[in-house]
Amino acid sequence: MGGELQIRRISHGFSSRGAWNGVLGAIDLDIASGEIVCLVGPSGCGKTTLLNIVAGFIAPTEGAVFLDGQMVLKPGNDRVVVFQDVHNSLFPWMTVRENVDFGLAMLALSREERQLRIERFLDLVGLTEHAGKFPDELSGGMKQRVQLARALATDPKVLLMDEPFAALDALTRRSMQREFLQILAATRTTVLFITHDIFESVLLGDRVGVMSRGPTARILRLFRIDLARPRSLVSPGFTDRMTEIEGLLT
Amino acid sequence: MERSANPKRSMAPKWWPSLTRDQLISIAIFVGSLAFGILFWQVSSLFFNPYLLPPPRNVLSSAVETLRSGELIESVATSYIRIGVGFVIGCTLGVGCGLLMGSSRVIREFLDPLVEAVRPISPVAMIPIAIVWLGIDEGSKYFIIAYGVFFITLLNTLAGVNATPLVRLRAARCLGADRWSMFFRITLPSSMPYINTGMRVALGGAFASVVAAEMIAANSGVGYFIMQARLLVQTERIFVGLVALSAMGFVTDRLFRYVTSIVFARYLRLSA
Repeated sequence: MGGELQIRRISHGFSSRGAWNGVLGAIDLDIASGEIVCLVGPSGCGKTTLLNIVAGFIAPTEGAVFLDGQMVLKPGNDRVVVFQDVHNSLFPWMTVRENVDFGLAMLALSREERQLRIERFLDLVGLTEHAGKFPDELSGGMKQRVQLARALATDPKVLLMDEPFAALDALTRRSMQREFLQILAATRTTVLFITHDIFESVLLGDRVGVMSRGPTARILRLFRIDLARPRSLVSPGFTDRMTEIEGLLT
Repeated sequence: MERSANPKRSMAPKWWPSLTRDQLISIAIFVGSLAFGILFWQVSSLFFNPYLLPPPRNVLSSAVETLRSGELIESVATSYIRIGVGFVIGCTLGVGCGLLMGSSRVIREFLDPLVEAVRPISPVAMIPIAIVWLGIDEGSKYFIIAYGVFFITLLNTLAGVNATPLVRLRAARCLGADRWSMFFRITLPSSMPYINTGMRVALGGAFASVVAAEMIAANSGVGYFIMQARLLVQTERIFVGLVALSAMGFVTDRLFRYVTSIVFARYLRLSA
């Protein structure tokens, strides 16, 4: 199965007018196979930059990312991203079914296998009835479900979630969080989840990393959230965890 | 919208398209606008010598005459064929070069100065050299039209390629798309709204340049028809030619929009 992610001394920055601007400073993070790790931090602290480095979209200034011992050099379908951008991340000229099929076509799977996977993952995210619709006919929550189905259908080792529910309304966000955990219970995929929502991080994460305000952001502390699942705001110890994290962020 | 459920609607014959109130208002305004234009023309013609501004009635009878003799139809058909051939050639080359420039930085940077050097030269300015190279037959007309269409579609295609959202490209990349798939399955479809707009603008330009070319050197087409009428000081016929151009442009644009809205339907969807 695999999916062990090692982030080793990742630093990132850029020079502008001769001055060095640090974005990330020596980030170390190990994620075990099947684990959900959330990273919370203030806006602009470099969370998404870290995710882009893990995805292989940008190369870090220093350090490296390893997936099951292999160094990450470029994007690949062993690390699929679910983006925050609800509007541009789906392919608008493709139906829901075709969107999910895109990654499968790239894998050159047989027609039958593609068909099976499309059905399985559309069912998993509850969009079977909407398979023939185009993205502009879907609500924000449905679009993010398509993204999730599209990402999981390729059977990635790691799922990279870039504030995927941040642009949704509060009610939709809550149900998406619940559904996300149910889906993961079925796939057991390793997850790196970027968020600025403390509640979300405690609700979803096996561990929560708190990032400092930039420039040169670091992981201030890693919390193990050993609360029983399913969790909710009234789970014993839930609000204590939230308070602790909030204390570090303010 | 509730009005479509109005029982009175069933009074209309079956072949009558069922229109909403808003659509009926739009059609009424459209007809009113044209009627105003013709009325304005009629009133203006009262103040001028009919040799300068013939009244609509005279132009209409002249139009009927030229339609009966087949002269007008032939001119219109000739111009249409020229536009059609030149447009297809220009679009193919323009979109092709635009995609090529969009796909590779080296090609883009190499071709960009050449495109920018030639682009300011209008199609009309190319007419003399087109005649020297290709004669006064169809070849030079195709060239002039294709020339104008080429630059417009090229620039729009390039703009479309460059406007492809980064997130969309990244989504495709992390789903395992290689360079080839990225370009043909993501960048090209993403550019379609721009390409479509470019083609539509270019079609308008094609009308302008074909008439110019026909006026300068041709023995057929609407431009030639107008020029002949001028030589013989048949103002009514000049106006017949002008009205024909107006109608041709309108019909072609509507037809183009209708066809592309079907053929490119899925690529013209909102990215929402």
